[in-house]
Order: sequence, then structure tokens, then C-alpha cells
Amino acid sequence: MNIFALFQSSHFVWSILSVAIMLSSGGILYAFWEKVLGGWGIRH
Amino acid sequence: MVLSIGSAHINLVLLLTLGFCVGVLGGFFGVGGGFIITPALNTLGAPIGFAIGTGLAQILGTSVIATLKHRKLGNVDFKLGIILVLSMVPAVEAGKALVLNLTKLGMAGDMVRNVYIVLLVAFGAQMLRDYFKKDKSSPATNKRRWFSFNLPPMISLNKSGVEKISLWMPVVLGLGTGILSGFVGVGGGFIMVPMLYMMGIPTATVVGTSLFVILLGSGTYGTFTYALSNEVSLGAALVMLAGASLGAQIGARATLYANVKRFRFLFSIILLLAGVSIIFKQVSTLHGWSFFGGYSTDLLMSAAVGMSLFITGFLLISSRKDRTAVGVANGVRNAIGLVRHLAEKIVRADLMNADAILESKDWPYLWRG
Repeated sequence: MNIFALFQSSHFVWSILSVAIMLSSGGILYAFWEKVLGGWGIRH
Repeated sequence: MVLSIGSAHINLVLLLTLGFCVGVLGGFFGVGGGFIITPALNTLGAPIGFAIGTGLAQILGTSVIATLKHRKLGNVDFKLGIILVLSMVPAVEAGKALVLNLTKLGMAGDMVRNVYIVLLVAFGAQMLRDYFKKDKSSPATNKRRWFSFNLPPMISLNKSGVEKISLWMPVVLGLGTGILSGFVGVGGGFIMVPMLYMMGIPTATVVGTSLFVILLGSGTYGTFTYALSNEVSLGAALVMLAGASLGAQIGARATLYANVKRFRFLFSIILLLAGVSIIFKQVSTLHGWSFFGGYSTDLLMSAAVGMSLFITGFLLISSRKDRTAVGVANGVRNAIGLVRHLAEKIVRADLMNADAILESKDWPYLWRG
């Protein structure tokens, strides 16, 4: 497959975005629940 | 409110609950949970390609959380991890191609479900057998047998403490895990972990490296390639991730109070029930008995929800007891401190009155006391 055609396809951009969104969401949610559960006093 | 996964419309609360349950089970038992997510989405009506793609996207999110939790430990053997990831990438692609071609033939759902039935029943039965087995020898005892496989080129894994190992061993492991990951939508930790143990790698490094490989191989590449084929429902994956992120924290914290080995019995039962639920789904699809299809979803969700609530309840009760114990300990410590403080005051007062005590000829009794 032509790499430039691949770049131009919306699926390719969407795939990269999907990975980036899932990666960053994991990090944000991790930090969020660490803080909330820490506030509840459940030790770890 | 409903979310679309391919042609299926699944209730948001159901997806959130599914994510939460997978998070609790994953955090507690140290598994990714892909082998529950994909069959669950499929039994809820999602086409198999979407169930796999969305499951892998959810695995990507949870593997970030798991890796962040282990980041300070420094347990990743990057050399071994990179070899495994590089071997996995073409295999994930092959697994996906197999799913897409079987989808065109109208056989993908049946084939993937068959693989799941074998995996879940075999894995569940193996765990059940291990639970009841009296001789609990370590998997590392197989080390010698594996090391006899000396096909060149040979490499050394310094971080893992392995002096000499055939390159083909991690390559074959990566290929096998990758095909399974691309074909059925699992992270592959349940295969990698025992296999890496058998290579004689220390437990902590096995866990850290396995997480690293799941994050890059199954999670990142799997999500990317399935999204490229438009087989990922990002909204559903995010909703499940939100539930799983809370569940994973609860599950991981519950391990502090529980003997996880004892709970493994219940986990093996969940795996077997998940296997039975897919058999129901298979029967309903192949023979058109919708009666079994309804039972399939109910059985899988009931098992996952029941076990997750049990673990959450266990954590809440145990942490409350723990706080009570800490309170009692603090009370005792404070009481001892108070007595000590009073005793010091008395002694000091006595010393100040030393002359009087000496004059009264009572001092030998004071020291004796």
C-alpha cells in the first residue's frame, strides 16, 4: 500500500487518534481515581 | 442512553458495569480481562470484529493504568519486551486478516467463539486443578526443559538474569500471542506470563515485561490496526475504560487484605461460567434457539457482576476493620505514652524532692520500685 495514500485516508488519522485518545484517557483516569480513592482513605 | 458497536446498540450503564467488573477482576487477579470483554460484547450483540477491536482499545487504556501502577518498580526487560513486540506486530495483523476474511465468509463469529470456549474452559480447568493440587511446584522447574531448546542465534537477557537463550523462543512466543491477540482480542498476558516463567525469568520482571508488551503489542498495535479497518467503537471503549479504571483501583487494593490464591477458586469458576455462556451463544446462533442467547448474556454478566460486588464488599469491610484496628493501636500507643509521661513527671518530682526522700530514709525503696 502507498504510504502517502495511507496518510491521506481518514481511517489512518482516526486510528492514530484512537490510540492517542485511549492512551491519554488511561493516564487521566488513573490519576483521577488515585486522588479520589486516596481521599476516601482507602490505603494502597 | 445507548452506544453503537457496529450494528448493535448497547446500554451505556451496561457497558460501564461491564468495564467496572473487568477492572475489579483484572486488578484483583492481575489479568487484562480481554477474554471477558470480547465475548461479553459479542453476547450483547456486537459483531465479532467490533467486539475484538473495541476490546483491544479498552485493553490499551487499562494497560496504561497497570503500567503506571508499576512504573516505579523498574521491572521491564526492554530487550526481551522489544523482541516480543516486534514478533507480535505481524502476528496481530495476521490474526486480524483472518478475522476479516472469515467475516466475509460469514464464519468469523463461530470460529472466534469456538476458540474462546476452548481457551476459557482449558484455562478455568487448569486453574481449578492447580487450586486443588497439593504439590504446588513452581513453573520455573520447567526451566531446564526449555533451556535445552538451543537453536541459534543465541542471545543474553541481562535484566532477566538469563545468560543464554535461543532468540527463537521469545520470537515464537510473540508470534503465538500476537495471532491469538489479533484473532480473539485478548492482551495475551495469560499466555506470556507462564511461558516467561518457564524461561527462568524472575516473577517481577515477567509481570513488568508482560505489561509492556501488552501495552505496545496487543493494545497499541491491535487498536491501531482494527481502527484502520473501522472496527473500533471508541465511545464504548472509553465508557468501559472509565468503569475499568475505578474497578482496577478497587481490585488492586483488595489484594492487600485477601489471600488471592484462595480467591483463585472463584476466578476459575468465572472462567468456566464464561465458557458455558459462550457455548449458549454458540448454540443459539447455530440452531437459532434464542432462548439460549438470552441465558448467555445473563450468565456472563451475573458471574462478572457477582464476583466484582463480592470483591468490592470484601474491600469495604476489610478496610473498615483495618481502620478500626489502626484506631485501637493508636489508642493503646497514646495510653502508653501518657503513662510514660506521667511516670517521668513523678520521677522528676521525686528527684526534685530527693533531699526530702533521702532524709526520710525511704530512697532504697524508690529505686527498688
